[in-house]
Amino acid sequence: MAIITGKKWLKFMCLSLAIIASIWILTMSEATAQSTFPSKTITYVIPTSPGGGFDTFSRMLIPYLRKYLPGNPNIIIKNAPGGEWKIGINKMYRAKPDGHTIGILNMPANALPQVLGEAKYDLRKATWLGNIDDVTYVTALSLKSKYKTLEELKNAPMVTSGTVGLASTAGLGTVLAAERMGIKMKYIPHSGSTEAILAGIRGDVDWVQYPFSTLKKSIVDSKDLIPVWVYSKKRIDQIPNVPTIAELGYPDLVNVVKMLRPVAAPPGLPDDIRRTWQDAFWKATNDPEFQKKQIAANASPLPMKQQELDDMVEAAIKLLEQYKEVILKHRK
Amino acid sequence: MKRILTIWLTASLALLVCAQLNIIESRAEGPKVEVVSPVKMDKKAETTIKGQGFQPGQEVNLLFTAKDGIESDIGYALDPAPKADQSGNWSTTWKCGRFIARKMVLEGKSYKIAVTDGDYNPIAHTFVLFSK
Repeated sequence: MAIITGKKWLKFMCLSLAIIASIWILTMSEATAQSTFPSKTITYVIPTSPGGGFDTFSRMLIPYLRKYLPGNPNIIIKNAPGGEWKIGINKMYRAKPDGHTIGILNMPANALPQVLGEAKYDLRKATWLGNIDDVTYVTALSLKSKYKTLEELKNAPMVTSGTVGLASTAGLGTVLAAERMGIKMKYIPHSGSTEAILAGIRGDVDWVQYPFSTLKKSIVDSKDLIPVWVYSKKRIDQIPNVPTIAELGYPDLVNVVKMLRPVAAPPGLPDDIRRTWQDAFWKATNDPEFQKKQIAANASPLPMKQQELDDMVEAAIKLLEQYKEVILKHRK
Repeated sequence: MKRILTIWLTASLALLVCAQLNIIESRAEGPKVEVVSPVKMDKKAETTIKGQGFQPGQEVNLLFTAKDGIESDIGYALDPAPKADQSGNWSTTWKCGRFIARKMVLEGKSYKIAVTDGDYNPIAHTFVLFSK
């Protein structure tokens, strides 16, 4: 190998050092970028299968989260169904708290495993980022049911209800509402809301209780089921003749039978990243275009801030602790 | 001293060039993924996805882009979880009926399936056709 000498050697040395320095600078700048947020693809965990309400509204929200997060990062959905939501919640809760993993929850229902001592998470410690909407539930009776009114239901020897399980707000809300109103209820488990509603239409069960958006087709369009009351403070415009549960004498049930769709990050999220997320979430959920899409899908937008989110979690846990014995009785 | 430095710098540059060539080569003949056949518009539909040219033992994620343009990790619906064998090949069955049942894909349209690493960095991609 020929040895380079003199000026040529100096030129070679300078060029080589410049190349090495450039590579070093590039490496360092990448390392610096990784210490900022967001620096990679964000994972949005959904503890249910694709196409349900939680998945649908999350998919609707993601472009707006991207719009308001710095650098418009890529956000991918990770569906993690099963384990009565616990699989998905644990994926979010146990992820590295760097802002790159968040997850949607179902409140108050997701507080149930915690209240029963079956959860490996503490929702009070999660970092709450925002809320998507407030879901209004409706109780509907089968056209083939013997019972048509609240009084008839209260006097019935046994009312059958199509539910998916106590892990769902629909199932939990049915148990709590029936208990509060003194209705003797037998719960017939179904694999999903579609199957439970079909059971109501066929007359296999008397009662179904689901979000208005889920029941709309059956109670407004085809009228296969009879809506008897709604769990809200005011009546629903599309079914103006249906009373609220408050009008029927149970105003407390408005806060019991409801569902929120909040989004959280793991505990210990650094303050600067938490603020970035909460700001982006607030802007996204208040975006008029996003809210227009929500309303078109029969949802009620309900953006929430830090204190409201913390209060919501605390209220959910207290509510379920209050009904713990009732819930345990129905789980047996 | 001058001689040692010269040899060291020459060797460093040679290594860098080799590394770059290696990257370029691996990109040119990189991993490939394919969907074995079009998917029928059936609520219980499933299809086989195969990969080749991966690092032996490499675990990958599959991302599906539905009609709304949102990418989702379909790992929960894959059996077995895609992991390259000693030859760098893997094969998995995707239960994709849920996307059909919930009208998240349209008949006659093709949708992207991306193969990524654990941090969702893309490695390869293909398209899957949903046919009648």
